[in-house]
This record gives sequence, C-alpha cells and structure tokens, in this order.
Amino acid sequence: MLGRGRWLAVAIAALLIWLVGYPLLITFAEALGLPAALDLSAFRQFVEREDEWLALWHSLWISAASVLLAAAIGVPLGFLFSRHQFPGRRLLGSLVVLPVALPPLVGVIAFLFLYGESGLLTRGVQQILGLEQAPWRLNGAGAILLVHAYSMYVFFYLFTRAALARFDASVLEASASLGAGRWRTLTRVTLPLLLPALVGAALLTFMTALGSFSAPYLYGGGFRVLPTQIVASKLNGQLEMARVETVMLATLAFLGLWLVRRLDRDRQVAGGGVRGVAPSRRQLRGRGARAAAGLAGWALALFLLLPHLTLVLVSFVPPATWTTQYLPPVLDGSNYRSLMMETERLRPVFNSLWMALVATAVALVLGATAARLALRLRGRLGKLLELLLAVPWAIPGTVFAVALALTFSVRELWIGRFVLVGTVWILPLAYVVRSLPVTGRSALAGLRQFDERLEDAAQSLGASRSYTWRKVTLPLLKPALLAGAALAFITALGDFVTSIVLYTYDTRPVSVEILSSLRLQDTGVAAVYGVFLMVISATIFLLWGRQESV
Amino acid sequence: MAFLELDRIGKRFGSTRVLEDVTAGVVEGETLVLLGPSGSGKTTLLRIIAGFETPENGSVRVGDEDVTNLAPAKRNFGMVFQHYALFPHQTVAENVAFGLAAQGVDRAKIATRVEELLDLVELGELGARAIHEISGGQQQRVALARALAPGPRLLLLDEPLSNLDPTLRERTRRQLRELLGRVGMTAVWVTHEQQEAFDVGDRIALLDGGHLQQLGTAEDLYQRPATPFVADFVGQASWLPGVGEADGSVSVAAGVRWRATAADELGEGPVEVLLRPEDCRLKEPGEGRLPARVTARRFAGFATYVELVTDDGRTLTVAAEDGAPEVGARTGVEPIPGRPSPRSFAAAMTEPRRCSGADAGSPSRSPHS
Repeated sequence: MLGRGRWLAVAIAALLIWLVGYPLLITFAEALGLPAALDLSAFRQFVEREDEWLALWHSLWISAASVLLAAAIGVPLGFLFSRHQFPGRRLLGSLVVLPVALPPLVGVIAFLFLYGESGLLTRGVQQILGLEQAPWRLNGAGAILLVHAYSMYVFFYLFTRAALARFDASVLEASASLGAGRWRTLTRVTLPLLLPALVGAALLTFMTALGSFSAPYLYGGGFRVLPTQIVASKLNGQLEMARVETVMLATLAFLGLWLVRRLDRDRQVAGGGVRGVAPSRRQLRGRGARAAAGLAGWALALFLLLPHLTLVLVSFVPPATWTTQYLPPVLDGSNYRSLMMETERLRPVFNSLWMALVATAVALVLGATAARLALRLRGRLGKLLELLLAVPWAIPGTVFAVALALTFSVRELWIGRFVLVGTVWILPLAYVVRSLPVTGRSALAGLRQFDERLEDAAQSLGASRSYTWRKVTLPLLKPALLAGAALAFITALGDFVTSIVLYTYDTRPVSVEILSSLRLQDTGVAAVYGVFLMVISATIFLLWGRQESV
Repeated sequence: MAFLELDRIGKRFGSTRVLEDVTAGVVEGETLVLLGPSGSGKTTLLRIIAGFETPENGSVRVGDEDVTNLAPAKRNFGMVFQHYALFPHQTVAENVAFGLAAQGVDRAKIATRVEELLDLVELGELGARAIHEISGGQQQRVALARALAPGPRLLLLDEPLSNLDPTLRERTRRQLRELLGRVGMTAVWVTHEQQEAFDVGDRIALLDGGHLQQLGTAEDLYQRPATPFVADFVGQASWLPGVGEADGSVSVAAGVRWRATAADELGEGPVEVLLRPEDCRLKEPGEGRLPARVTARRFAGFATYVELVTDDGRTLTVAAEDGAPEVGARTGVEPIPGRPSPRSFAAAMTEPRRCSGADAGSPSRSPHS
C-alpha cells in the first residue's frame, strides 16, 4: 500500500518537475550558454544596455508603489468593513473583492473605455471644461499604477479583515483600561499586531505587480517593465536577451517566494497563541454618520463598478457610431449579433472555453493528487511536492510562457523535450501549469481540515474503499475542490500573459482576440468579449470561488 | 474458548515498541476493558483488533478464523470512535444507515433498522437533524447506533465517554452498560479511567508500556494486584518497606510484624508492603502497631482520610471511619484482619518504580495525572 503510494508520488513528482521545474531549469541553463559552454556574454549585454536596467528599475519601483497605493486603499477598507455596521455592508463586501477575480485584461480595457483618451469620463470632463483635447492621457507609469491599485487593494483588504477577525477584543479593552486613547491604541497595539498580515499582503501585492503584464503592455507604450521587455525581446527574435531577462525576473520571483514561505513558517510558529473574542462591530451612531458611511460605501461601489459598467455600455455601441458625442448616440445589440453570426468571431470563445475546461480538469486531478500525497508522505518527497505546487504561483506568467516556449520548441525526446509550440496543446499545458497552485492550494487546505478518522469509521461500518471515497471523502472535500477548480477556470479563461506568447491563430483565446479587435478599432466587439469574460468569471467566482479568495 | 483471541500481539512504530506479547481473550457477551495510562498501547491494541493497524507478530482470531490481515471493512466489528467521527455532511439517520447502505441492504429494510436503533438509543425523533444540531451526549448515542446498525459481532469502543462533561459521563456510562447487556453485545472498551473500567468491565486488561500487567475482574485487580503498578493504578496505595519472615509474616518496623498476603512466592528478605487506606485502622501506639504522626486530615463523608508519616519518614494514608486523631497526634497503625492488604511484593519488582515516600502513599495521586 505504502509502496504503491510512494511510486505514485514519484510519478506525480516527476510529472510536476517536468511541467514546472524543467522549463525553468532549461531556461536558466540556456541563458548561461549551457550545455555547450558556460557563456555569460548575454548577461554582460544585459548589464551594458541601459534599457534593460531601466526595465528592471521600472519593475521594482512600480511594484513598490503598487504596494503603497494598494495598502492605502485596502487597509482602511478592511477596517471599515470589519469594525463598522452600515446599510448594504454584506453586498458591498462581496463586490469589493471582485476585482481580484476578474481577468486583468478585462480591467485594463474597462479602464481604457472609461478613463482612456476617448473614454466616457474623459469625454465628459473635456465637454464640461470645453477643452480642445482630452484633459489627460491614459498611459505610462501613472496609468499602470492606477490599474494596479484598483485590483490589488483586495489583497490588503482581505488580509486586514482576516487579521482583524482573529483579533482579541480584550487586548483593546486592556489598552483602554490602561488609559490609552484611541489613537495610541491604534498605533501601539492594533497596527503592531496587524503587522504580520500587512507584510504578507505587501509581499503578495509586490509579487503580483512584478508579474503584471496586461496593464504595462496596453498602457506602457515606451515605458517598459521586465515582463513587457521579455515579450518584446521574444517577438523581436532576440532569444538570448529574452532568456536573460526571464532569468532576472524569475530570480526576483524566487526571492519573493522564499520570503513568503519563511514568513508563513514564522507565523505558524508564533500563531499558536490564545484566541479571544473578536471585537464587536460598531453600529454607527446617529443618522448623519450612518448616512455618510452608507453614501461613502455606495460611492465606492459605484467607483469600483464604473469601469465594468462602461464596458457593458460600450458593448452595445454599434461600430463607427460614437464619434465626438459625450454619450453614445446609438445603442443596440449589433455587436452581440455579429459575434453570434460569424463563426470566426465565435471561435475564440469556444477555444477559451474548451482549453480552460481541459486545463481545469487536469490541474484539479493533478493538484489534488499531489496535495494528498504531499500530506500523506511528509518527508522530503512531500515537501518537494508542496514546493512544486507553490512555484507557479510565484513565477510571473511571462516567465513561464517564455520558458515553455523555449523548452517545447525543440525535439529532443531523450531529455523530455517535444515540439509543442505551434500545436493545439501548448496553451492548455501552460494553463495547467498556471492553475496548479490554485487547485493544489485549495486541495491542501481542504485535506488539512479533513478528519481521516471519518474514513476509518466508514471502513469499520463495512464500506469499501471506493464507497468511502464516493460517500465520505469526496462530499467533504467538494467545497474546497470546487473553489479551487472555479478559480483555476477563471485564471485559464481570462489568461492573457501566457496566451500572447504561445497562441496560434487557430487556438487564439478570447484575450488575444480582444487585443486584435482593439487594434482594428473594433471597440464594440472587444467590449463584447470583455463582457463575456467578466460575466462568466464573476458568476463562477460568486457561486463557488469565494471559499478561498486569497 | 474465547470468542475473540489475541495471541502474542507485538507492534512497533519506528523504533518504539508499543505492544509486546499481549495475549488476551474476550468471552462471548462480556465487556472487556482495556485500561491503562496514555501511551500504554491500549488504543493501538484496539486499532489492531479493528484492523486499522497490523501487528508485527501475533494473531487476532475470531473462533477459528484468523482475521489478523483482514480489511477493517470485512471484519463486521462495530466501532465507536473517541471523537465519534460522525459524518458531518449527513443527517443523524443517514449516519446510522451508512453501514447498511454500504453493504447494499435495500431501502425499506434500512429504514426499519434505523428507526429501531434510534429508538434503542432514545433518539427516535431526531433522525432528520444535522450532526451539528445535536448535543454531545446525543452525538455519542448516534455513534453507538451507527456502530450497532449493521449488526456487528463485536463492538469496539475507544474512550467513548471522554468527550462528555463529568456529570453526563456517569449517567451515559450506566446507560451504555445497560444497553450492551440488553442486546447481549460482546465488547472491547478502551479507557484510561479506573472508575469507568470498574463500572463497565466484566473483566479488565490493564496495560502499561505495551505489556499486559494483569487480566481479571475488578475485584482481582483491586484486591489481588499482580504488580505494584496495578496496585498503584487501581485505587489508593501506600507503600512501606519491610522484611519477609520465615513464617510468612512481614515486619515493617522494629517489633511490628503483620500477617500479609503475597503477590509472589516470597522467601525471607526485603519486600515492599502495600497498604490500602480502608484495610487498616488507627489505635493508641502499642504492640503490633506501626507508630506514626498525623500530618493532615481530609474529611470524605463515609470516612476521614488521615495522612501519616512514620518515624523513618514514609508517608501513608488511613481511612478512619470513626474518630480521627488531631493533626500532630501520635498514633499506631494496625491492619484489620482478613482484608486483602497488607500485601507484599518482592522488593526487586518495585525497584524501577520505587515510589519515593512522599509520592507513593499520597491518596490524591490520580493514575492519569
């Protein structure tokens, strides 16, 4: 029994290494000129070229600034929702986390339609002020930061809420009984206790921003960050440079992963303390205060939803009808109709759906099996499995895309390299790798909560292994697995980062089609695709995905 | 011949031996209690009987059938788990029906049987409840009904009462014992509490460090403990050093010789003498009485526990039924004739756990502290 388990573990570990570790290893090795000879000339070139340094520098400061902005929004929001009671709190609570579930590209184009040069708001301001030109342009670092802040505050919001929920109210009471005022309690008690959670959120935000691709790609223009620099090098055929850039970005990401894991370990050690009663929610007193909080809440919701509402609006604007007016003069369903009628336009939808489905199914089975084995085996093999499940989470999509592209464009069967680039299978494979940490992590969480004695109980009642699995294990793990699958599906469905590097014309997914529609000035159709991604992602997330939203 | 036979069971986890050469039998219809402190191997032994663990050596037999390597699902033993292990996603009735459904019994039969069992454990009207909607005591009864539903030939109970609060525990214990007797169930019951073992066990197997210390009735264990460990674990014990004499008596101090029962064939020489608090009385110091000074008194209703220290510094406890002397008074300890103690053990046997004077006689010592 244990023997069979171990062989399966070795097989799964080998498969995971081949999928996750191997492409990275190949990329690192080839960047160093191996296996031919150690050759650092590409690195020398990287060091000598100013634009490369600039991209690295941009990546770092954009990520740091994203952390600050996201914290500035997310932490107060977390406090507001944890500590205060106001009308609509629950509904708003669900809306507030939505940006993290929507494909980044959708957010990016929604912002474009709202705040872009010919965006709804921009036109409005231009009209009101009677300006000749648009009052601002949505590009460069500012635009990137705006989008980052808009989606990444969710990390701070969720971490703050989770930490506040674990908070022991008696600590606050103790502080107050010792004569500390509210400000002193906040700065001397609450914030220090919150620090680990905030550091965790900061790291997560930093790494997400570091790997962010959609916003810099669409808004960056000449402002390059590492991910966009990599894709540019790759498209220009500068493979050597692309490799080196990939290695640099991957190294940064690994550093981040190492930090996160260290932090998690420390927290596990320190976290076993006393659990108290969380402070009760304060009902805001006075009609004025309540109305103000409610108003602020709804204004916030509107602000959060406005880009997506704009997206919906634009999807109803027929081609070439909205020229200089403030509001679109004609609204009808012609974009939707044209999408339904033309098979070529429907094709990306089918592509995205089937590829996401296949990838989710594979990632679910692989992730759950690996998670179960990781917990069963413990030891070194177990640790390795857990690490392999975590790596693709930390590694930016661009790195993986380039690593896969470089590894699987060569036919060397004896070292496990096939030509997959240009085939139907490369994108689903990339999606599987990207989804693994999501399905793996939720399976791990589910299994950690699962009481194995229930399986013993079932067997002592005469149930066979398969009956036990069907009637006890699976039903109890289902919520966790479903949440993992839901998030994996959303990730794969809206993927842009890996798709833009690896797609072929026949397998182009919706995200790539959005980009080409935009290039063809087909904004209505691009919006329809965006609405499609948005509706499916939001629905799936709200139905099944919320169990594990960090 | 016993219904269930455990023959020289041995088990190790890694390099730790948890069971060594344990041989025991369960007679049809009886409740055998596996008693012992934590780490004694009692739960491992139960899991070996259930089939969740396989012993390194030895065998488990039911009649002529060797079940040592049989899968748990095929043994037809019911089990009540320590934390009940009720299926949280199923209702009370679904939990009880689980075993029958797993074996493909048809629905109508299942429904009747579930009803029958819920009535048996007095939960008739709670069948549709979710597990988290019923109390701890009710959960315990659901676990019992679930284990009994498939009609097992043996019921295993792993500390079935440890999750209940003390007042409920005693009542449930009685109900459970009564119910097992009513359905004529053969059972193996694991506990670390001596009182529980005495209450529910027809016989008790006392384990320590993976070894079977003694197997017998509660009276056997209490009155005729085979080892000092048994004497200590079951009831209160005071220990005095003594010397065995040629005529079978023991001398516990200069000029103080008592008649004593013997745990072993003892020759002349040093022994450890067990004294139960209720087997002796306090008199004026004198002939055949062990001189001692009163250090504390504790009133316990039917008697007063008097703590004493002898001239050579040993402590002991005596239950005085009438008129306990004041603290500080000098008194003499005298065994009541015809009682099971004093009981002498070869001094060598007590060596490993030689109870230092202060500790051994203390009546507050609980076996599971």
